[in-house]
Amino acid sequence: MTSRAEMLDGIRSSLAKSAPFEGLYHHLQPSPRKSVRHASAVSAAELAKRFSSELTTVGGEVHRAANEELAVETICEVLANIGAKSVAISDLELLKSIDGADIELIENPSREQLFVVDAGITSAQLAIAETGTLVLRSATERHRLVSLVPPVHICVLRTNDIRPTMHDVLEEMSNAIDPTITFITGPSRTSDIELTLAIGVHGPKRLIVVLID
Amino acid sequence: MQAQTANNFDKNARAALADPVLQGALQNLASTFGTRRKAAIATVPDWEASRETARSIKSEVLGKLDKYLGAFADNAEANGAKIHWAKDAKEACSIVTGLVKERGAQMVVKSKSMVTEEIHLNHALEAEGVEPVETDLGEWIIQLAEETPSHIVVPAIHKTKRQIAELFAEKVGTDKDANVDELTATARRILRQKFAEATVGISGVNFGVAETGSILILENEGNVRLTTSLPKTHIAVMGIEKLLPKFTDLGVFLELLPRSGTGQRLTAYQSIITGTKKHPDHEGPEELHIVLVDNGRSKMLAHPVTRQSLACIRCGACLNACPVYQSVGGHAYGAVYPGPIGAVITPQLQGLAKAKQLPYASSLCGACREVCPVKIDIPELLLHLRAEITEGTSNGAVTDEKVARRRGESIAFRLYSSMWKTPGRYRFFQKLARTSQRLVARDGKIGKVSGLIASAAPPLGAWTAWRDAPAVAPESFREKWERKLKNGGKAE
Amino acid sequence: MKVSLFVTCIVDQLFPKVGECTVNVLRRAGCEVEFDDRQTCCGQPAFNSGYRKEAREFAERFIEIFEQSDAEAIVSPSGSCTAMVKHFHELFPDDPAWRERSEKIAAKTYELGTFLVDVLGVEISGSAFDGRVGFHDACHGLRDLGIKKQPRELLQGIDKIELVELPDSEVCCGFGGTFSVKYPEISTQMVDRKIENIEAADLRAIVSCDSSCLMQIGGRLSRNGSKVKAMHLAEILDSHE
Repeated sequence: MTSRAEMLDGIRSSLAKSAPFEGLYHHLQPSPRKSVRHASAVSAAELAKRFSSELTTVGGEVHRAANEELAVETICEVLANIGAKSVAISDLELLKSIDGADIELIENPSREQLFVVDAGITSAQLAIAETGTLVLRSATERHRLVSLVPPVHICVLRTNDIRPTMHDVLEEMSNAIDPTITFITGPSRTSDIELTLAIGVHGPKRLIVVLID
Repeated sequence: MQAQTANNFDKNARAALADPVLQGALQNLASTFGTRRKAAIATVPDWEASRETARSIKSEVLGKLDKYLGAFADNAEANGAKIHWAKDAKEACSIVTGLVKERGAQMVVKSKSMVTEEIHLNHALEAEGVEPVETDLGEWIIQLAEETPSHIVVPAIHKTKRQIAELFAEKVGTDKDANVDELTATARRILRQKFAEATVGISGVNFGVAETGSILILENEGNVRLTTSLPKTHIAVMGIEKLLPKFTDLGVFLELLPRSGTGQRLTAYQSIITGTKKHPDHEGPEELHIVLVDNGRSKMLAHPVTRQSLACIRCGACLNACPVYQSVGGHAYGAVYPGPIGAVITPQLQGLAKAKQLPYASSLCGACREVCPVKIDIPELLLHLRAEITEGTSNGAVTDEKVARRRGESIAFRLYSSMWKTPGRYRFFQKLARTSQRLVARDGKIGKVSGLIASAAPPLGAWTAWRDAPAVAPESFREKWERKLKNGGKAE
Repeated sequence: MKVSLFVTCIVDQLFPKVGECTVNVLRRAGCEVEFDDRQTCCGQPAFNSGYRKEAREFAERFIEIFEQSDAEAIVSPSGSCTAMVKHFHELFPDDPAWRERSEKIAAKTYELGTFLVDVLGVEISGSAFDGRVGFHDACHGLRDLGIKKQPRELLQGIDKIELVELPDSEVCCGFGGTFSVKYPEISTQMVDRKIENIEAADLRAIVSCDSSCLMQIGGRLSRNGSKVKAMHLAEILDSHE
């Protein structure tokens, strides 16, 4: 088997072969890297509005809630609307106060349970206004599978956690990178057949965000 | 199933042009992607600056690839990943199949990965009694059809919905009049079972980050997330050139890749995976193996001009923009990577002798260069490869196997250069042309020539098979200048 | 201004009228035109087919001839040949002296439409062409030289003309030099797509700045028995109908 040293040596010797010629091809060299432009300061309310509109455009659904209690109520309404009988939840504290009549709430679902529940509920740690994207960080909350396997993903988000752009989010996370960071922009989709859009492939068919002010 | 190779491009192209179903599918691609991409890039404040930034980042990485690859490996391992070094396709397959068999898996789920196509991983797994299940819808379709992908991003683009429905009816027993939603739902239902059972998931990698040892994979369907979260073992196969220096560098590439590839601002999901979980009862795989694949890439670094093709982020934009790809589709190229980028990297990865037609399979229009998010100058590279073919060099290509010189053509070009070296010889050539064309020219035009004349002058035969050619003028411009124009004097 | 005409081998041999019209238009624009008849070819066919040694020979010859001119500009009725001159420096990677000479020549070489609009800034009055006209954006001119607005501005100034913007005007016509005869079926399909748009627009003429494109498009139109004329920008600017 090839060792690390062998591979890196091979690369080094190839680079050495081209080094004498690089000056000749100066017209192919790019100009120095420009700095990334960040969005100017925008209010949380504007970010929330932008986030909602972008997510809705790509097929996500957004409900606003003034506070946590109302958020929980909204979640219960949504569950009633979809006729959910069993629901998987992440370990988010807030979700434990969901009390829907006849709805089985499962925290820490098993593999089998994940594949049969009607919905999964989690929160998102951050979000991106410019694209309507949720950011789920694995070190904070146990939501990797609950946000993925059930056919409906209900996600709680606070407006204070919305950032303007992807650049802002990456910058913010760069000092503490979780084992898994998942970016979610709408329900799952494909255009593999004749470039015709179909919603709901392997990931959730519906993404419903409850946005808490 | 297909005996198409890169050296049969001309035959493959003719067959593709004569296939009305394929032509219909390709027309759909041309019109749809162009519009979507244009709309998407309009949402970036300074698209050109982003391209320039991305190109700078890639040039930096390629120029110091040993350093960045070493850092990537160190950081990934520090976070619990296991790194494997594969110098070629055979070794990469051996590593992956070894890992799979050691873990006793007889079936693996796989997400879409062009590098795994390149190393023919599925064949290797099947040869060892392991069933690889493609989970990306397009890849699953071509797996059922026993074909290879015809596009880097939408592998089944060459198939119509009708063909796919008939395929599903034959292979999985669904209705042959099923619509797109029904076909998609079928894939979901069947593949879900595989996700639930699989103990090993194999994925590709869109970007590796040297600074943190992270890998990023993007997708729309959710199959990557399922492949990389449910099974106990995740094997990620990565070309060594897929690196970025810093975590924040991901930003500009996430801006460029979805827009260029599918006309989306962002794909539905991105997963950034950094090592393995920190606690045994956390979610996610217990093991992460990253297989670093060279397979000719390091050799490409030896050529300062063509090595920019390693900057490719596999977005597929050049395929969508290319009028040649739009005419013949991906399979005609007879290689894993089709289209403009395929025409450039296939001769480098496999050697010029195995892909000697591909550098000529282009009108050099430059549409690809215009849309490439990392500004690879594909026409420039095609010209370099053409020169390498005629000059018999192979700097940068994997093998030194020479391409047989096209004697007829090189004689013709030597003749052209020497005949047109001096005005005297040039005028003689002109008289020769005017005389010999009397056989074929009528009313200033040359119609279809065939038979003996066509074999004596194949380009004339090839041209006039479909187009009229202009005859050499009875009075050339320089003769006209001499006779009357030069005394036209200064203007009013 | 004194300009030296780089007429191009294809115009000289196959489309001399384009050269004649170019001279007329330049004179109407107030230029003194000189023509050095030692010129032959810029070497683009050799360069594009990978015969760099031969291409270099042509480049050296071109540079030597045009260096001797005291004209302020070298003007050509071909976007692709002008682009080739701009690429000459790539033929001398290990010869800084030749590279410098090639860059000097390249800096004063212009395609006709660009020269008239961007350098001279003149309007060409007195031309007339009655009918619907479309423009084909030849690839090298468009992408290497940025030719887009200039020909359209010039065409707008023609009396009685009805300038029509064709869909996919920027898509390659399929010529590509030897590509047109190495892969003639693909080349023909590409030109057929363009001709579909041309015929649908009910044009009297299709205009371009490149005679090689016009040879491709015109050759297929002629084979089809079409009434649409394939005309060079210089020809239509020198038209008085």
